Amino acid sequence: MAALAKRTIFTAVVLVVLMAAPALGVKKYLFKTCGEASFCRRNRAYADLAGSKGAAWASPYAIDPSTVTFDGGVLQGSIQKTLTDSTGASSNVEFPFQLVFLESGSARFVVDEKQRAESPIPGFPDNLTQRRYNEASKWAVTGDLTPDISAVESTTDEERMTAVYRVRYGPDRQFEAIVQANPLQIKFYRDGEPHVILNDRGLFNMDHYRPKPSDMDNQDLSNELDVKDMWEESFGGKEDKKPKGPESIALDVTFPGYEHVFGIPEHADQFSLRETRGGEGNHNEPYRLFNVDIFEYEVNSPMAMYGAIPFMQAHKKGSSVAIFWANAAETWIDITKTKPNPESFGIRKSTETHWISESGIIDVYVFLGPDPTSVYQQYGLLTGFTSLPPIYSLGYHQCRWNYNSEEDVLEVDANFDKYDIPYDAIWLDIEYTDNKKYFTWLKSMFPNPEKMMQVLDKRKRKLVTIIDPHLKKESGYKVYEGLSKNELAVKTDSGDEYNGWCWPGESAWIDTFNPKAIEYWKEQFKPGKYCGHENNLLIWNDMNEPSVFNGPEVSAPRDTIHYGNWEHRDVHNIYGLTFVNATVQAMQAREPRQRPFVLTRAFYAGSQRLGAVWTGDNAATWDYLRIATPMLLSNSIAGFGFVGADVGGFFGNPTSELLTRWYQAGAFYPFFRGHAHIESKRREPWIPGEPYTSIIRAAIRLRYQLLPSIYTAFHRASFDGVPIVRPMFLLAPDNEEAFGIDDQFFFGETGLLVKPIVQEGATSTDIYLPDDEIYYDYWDHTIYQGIGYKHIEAPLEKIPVLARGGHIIVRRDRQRRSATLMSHDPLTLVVNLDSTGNAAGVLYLDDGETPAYSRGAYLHRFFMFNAEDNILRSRSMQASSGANKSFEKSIDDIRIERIIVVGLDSDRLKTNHAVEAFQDRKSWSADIDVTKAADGKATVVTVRDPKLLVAADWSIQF
Amino acid sequence: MKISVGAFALALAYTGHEVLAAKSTHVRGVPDADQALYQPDENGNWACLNHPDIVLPMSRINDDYCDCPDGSDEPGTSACPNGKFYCVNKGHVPGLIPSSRVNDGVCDYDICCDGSDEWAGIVKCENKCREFAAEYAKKQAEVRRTQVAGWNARAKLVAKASSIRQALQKELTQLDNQIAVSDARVVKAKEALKLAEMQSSSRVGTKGSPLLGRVKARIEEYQKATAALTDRITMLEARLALAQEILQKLNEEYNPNYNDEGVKAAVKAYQEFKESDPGDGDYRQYVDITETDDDELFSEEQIDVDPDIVEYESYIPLQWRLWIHDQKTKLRDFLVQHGLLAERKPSGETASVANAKKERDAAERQNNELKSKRENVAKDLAADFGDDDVFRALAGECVDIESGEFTYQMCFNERITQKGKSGGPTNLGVFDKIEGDKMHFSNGVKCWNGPQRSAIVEMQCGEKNKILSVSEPAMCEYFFKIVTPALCTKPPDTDTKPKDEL
Repeated sequence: MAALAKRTIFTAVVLVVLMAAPALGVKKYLFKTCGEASFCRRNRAYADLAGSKGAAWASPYAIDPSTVTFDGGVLQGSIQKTLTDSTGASSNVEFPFQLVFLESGSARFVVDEKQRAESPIPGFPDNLTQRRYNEASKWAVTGDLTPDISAVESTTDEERMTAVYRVRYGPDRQFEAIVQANPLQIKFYRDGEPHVILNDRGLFNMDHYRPKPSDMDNQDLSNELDVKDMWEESFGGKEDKKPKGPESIALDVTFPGYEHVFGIPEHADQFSLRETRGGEGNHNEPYRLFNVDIFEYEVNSPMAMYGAIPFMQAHKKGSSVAIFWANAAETWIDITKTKPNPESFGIRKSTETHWISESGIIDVYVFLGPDPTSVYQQYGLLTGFTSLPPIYSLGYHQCRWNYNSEEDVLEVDANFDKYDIPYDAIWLDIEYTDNKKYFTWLKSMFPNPEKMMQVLDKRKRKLVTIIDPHLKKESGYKVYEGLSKNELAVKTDSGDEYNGWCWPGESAWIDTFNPKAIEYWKEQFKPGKYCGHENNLLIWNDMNEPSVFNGPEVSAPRDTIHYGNWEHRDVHNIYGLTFVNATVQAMQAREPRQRPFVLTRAFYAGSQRLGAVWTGDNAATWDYLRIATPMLLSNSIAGFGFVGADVGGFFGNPTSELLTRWYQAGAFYPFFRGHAHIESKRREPWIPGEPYTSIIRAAIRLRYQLLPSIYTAFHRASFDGVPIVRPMFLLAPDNEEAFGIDDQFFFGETGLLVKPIVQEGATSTDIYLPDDEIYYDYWDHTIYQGIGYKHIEAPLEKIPVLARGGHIIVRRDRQRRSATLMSHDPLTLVVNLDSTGNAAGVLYLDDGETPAYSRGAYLHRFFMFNAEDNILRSRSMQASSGANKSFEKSIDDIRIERIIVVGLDSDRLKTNHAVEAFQDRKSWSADIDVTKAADGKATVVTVRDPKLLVAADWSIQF
Repeated sequence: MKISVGAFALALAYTGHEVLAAKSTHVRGVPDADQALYQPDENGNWACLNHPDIVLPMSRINDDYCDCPDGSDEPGTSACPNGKFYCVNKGHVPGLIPSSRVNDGVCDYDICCDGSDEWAGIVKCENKCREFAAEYAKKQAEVRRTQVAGWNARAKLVAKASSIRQALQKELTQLDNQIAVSDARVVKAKEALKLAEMQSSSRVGTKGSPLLGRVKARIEEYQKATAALTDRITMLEARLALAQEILQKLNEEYNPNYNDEGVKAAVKAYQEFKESDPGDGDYRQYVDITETDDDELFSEEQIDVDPDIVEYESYIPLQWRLWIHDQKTKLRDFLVQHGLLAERKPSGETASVANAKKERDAAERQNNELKSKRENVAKDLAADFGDDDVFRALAGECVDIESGEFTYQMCFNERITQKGKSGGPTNLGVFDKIEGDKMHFSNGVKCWNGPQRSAIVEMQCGEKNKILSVSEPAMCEYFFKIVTPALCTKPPDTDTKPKDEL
């Protein structure tokens, strides 16, 4: 929800409207361009200067070879910046660096500023921590940062003479880092080729601490490119005092031979990132990472949005690599692609990137792949994987700003049953509160929320309430009073409580960097204190960028102060993560037997550990439906795969056709929620009427049918980071033609290739097959094969989905009212044979809601159809333990009720009426139904109730 | 999701041997009445009910696998997506539950009070039919009471609507008569004007035309006659008032317990007489003519005030002048209308022409008034007031409810308002139309930055008009649920009751 639409109303009421009719679309003037952020402007100018000098560019930064050491997996030393004043006298500034080779196979390059890290600087603001902010990794990284002592230096004597150092590291020491002192450069090699080059273009730049000269006119500024706005800066009439002066950092990273780079969400743009320095189809502005509440964001834009993950993947034929820029301050990323250079990197273009952050240290992680899956695993081992969500959170969510009363909520709930549509959670936006005071209820409309929750619980459905980080400054509001009294709010630069405006009017923001604030937050969620003792409560954290209506760029002033005496500018992009972290901890404390579910709008690297995210306030037009697919892909490859876009579009009123197409797309979003703005008309699935309601029902039911496979995909994401929504290059890593395709995706482990219809009136589409595998139309089993576009019909009632051969899909075909109510149902296996007649698949199953799985209470099975012997087998993938035995016992009544084999040569069947099933040293026959191949459709063999158990080893001889 | 009365009646029809058959091969989830449909054929097989070509062994009925596209082979399990499970609900009304709710771990007591939908043991659902039956009987009785009371209340509304309609029709007839008279007056006035104009034109340039003298004489005659008639009418009115007073007294004070047909008929006739009072018409206008007449009307020199004012205007800036001229015209029209100023006429127009014009205008004005009144009455009569015209009786009647911080008032066929603790009422919409069980109100006060407010009122049968709830499903779009006798239908005859109670 939320958003500036709400704010627009608010602003107009409180501040009186200054503009006549507010135009639709993003208010660009609210947000900075690179030119309006002095550090970005200066570093871009620095890049231009270097670029204009070409080979003659001499960076003032170089490693002092005398400082370089290598020990215990760490290469370290000092980078010196040489300053020359107008008299020609030179001086040095020292920036100690470390190149750490991690046990997990990644490398980490850290550069700090010596004077700020060491002895006290006279005149440095005493209310601030003197050192540069170096805790982005502390929040983002939960993985092992132990240096790999088996990394070896293999520098030759000759190299040492020229101050070049070489370290072999990684799995089997296949990776190599070559560090050059002057010009400063670090090249990362794999398979004898460079894949990532740090400071290839010499744009490394760190503002060292310098107090504002008392007399600017007579100051020697020969080392400064542009002194404007270095010591204070204002935007939109709001002053930033910049007490630490300029402290930006910048580094260029080249991906040689890589034409495509992906990631750095969140942007409403295509998946393969564009160049940002002009030219047709390119941007003129860098991609910006700065969490903001952006009202009616525009599509195809590099503007900053609600979340920031400074993770970029470069992919080329045969190789994938990535970097993670662990910095929490405002960050801009310029991207350019060089002309092909046959001499150095073959015929492909290279991608050059330029990373610019306002403050903090340089802390960059390099992942050398070699393939996308390895990259995601390496990144996940650092920042954590998606935590396994409760299964009901993978069902359909019904939201609206607002369901106004208990009656309203229960009527919507009852209508789902009336129209026989399953759903799992109903959501309450801000209006449920008493005057936007979180943890309170508007009693006139919600006199008995506990009872309402009990009614929802009858069908195992959940209630989601919104809780935001701004707390109304009002005497008598206990949550605020406690916060204020204990000084747990974000502070101003003079140490007072910071107050700004948000939904409730004047508010304070909880400083969730503070461990005491987290404890305080836990208190607020205690059962009985909030929402009785019902355990079907889920939480929605919104506005956590943070959104401050009267703040600069709709956020907190950069010179406000957080726990640890860090300025907001240092921690901005992480604030949202810390807030969700506090909520998750609070919910775990509230109900330790339940896996928490928290949805967030703002995010950072590592937020995937904490819950789900959505793409914020989109609009009910086809453009936003279209852009959702690349946005989901970008988030997914950057580790945060539990993502969705508001189905229907938040602002405005979708046509019935758009709404229907959006549900069809949304059924494949990892997070599946319908949502609507307060000024929009009701649009629950039954509102549009026939034929739309039936088509929407079918889409939602398909979602529920596929839940076992979706849950299995989430399970995989939770231990190796492979996302739910997958780009073409994940299955076809060598097909260059497919790298930029971002209007279709593979879904989990199912092999389903989904292409949402995003055009009004479309009744057919072209799906691109990225590889030579056989594909079957999911609905009628029509066979498609051969790389390239295939035309398929897609009337309104049909979602264009192809099933790639070689995968086994696990479904639950019985329709229930919610995900939890399906837990006793039998399973259906859909075996889509590949062109060699083989197929395989995985099923992960557990109780779906408690943390017992982490102690082994789960089922993990592997299904394989073998073409050689025509046998489908089920085998366990887990070690036998007490916990899984007892879980298996709890599901010993769950059987495989149906097996559908697509693409089996009917001549290979032993008989046309039965197959033989083997389980537990017994065998019996099971009837089959054979639909022979015809009209371009594959043969379909359906095994009728083979009476096999999901928890047992078994096989079927076809 | 109650089983239909028809199907249930069918169930009752089966007795005796059918029960015996059911005992041997009772099929779960199928009513006794339909058990016969689950008999094996001569080969011991069975065919899907709506797909006779799909033949299955008997063992496949309720084996928890869906074989029939119509779901008929799995009436007792959740295997088929489109099946229905029959709950016997002994002691209560049987129920049919979608098969997707069989064995899902939820006791769906609202349909299966006997808990038979959860036979697999995922959850234990005790039989609550005794409780539900009692509650249901109570509810049914209340429903029936409401239906009966509502139906009776509706009958009264219909009767009231009918008498309103009759009154309107009567009024229409009277208006038609008055219009006929008025039409004649207009024709006459126009002729008189024509005549006056002819005389006037023939007199141009001359003073004291002989025709003018004759007309003046004739008018004086008419004036005398009219004055005499007026006196007569005044006298008759006084006597009528006296007679009415006597009858009114009779009407109020007679003893209805004395069964005197003569008195009762007189009272009734008087009441009708009173209701049909046509009013005093417009004859006084004629009287006015006699009063305002004077010799000046016939003089040749009329004072025209206009030139003086025009001169004033020429001293005033243009933009003000236009405004003043406008105001001046309005003022003059007002004065003319109220007889304070002579109507402006082309210079040289005679007093007789002016007078004739005045009469023509008065006649036309009266004629227009009557016609517009007639149009309104006719429109009212033609308006849709729902079945039996029932809402005609409710139009204008209001009901209130307090909800949240507001009090809402809904007036049938008129408007809906919302009133906060302070400030005046906000118009949520004026009556637009009735469609089925919904009343639509639209064109309310515009929301800030939003649409005009509007409301939909969903009605169901109730003994009295009452708002049950109000909500705002979308911003500035309100939704009311009300009960009203207007929506009640004739309750089913009570002799079907024993079946219900079985």
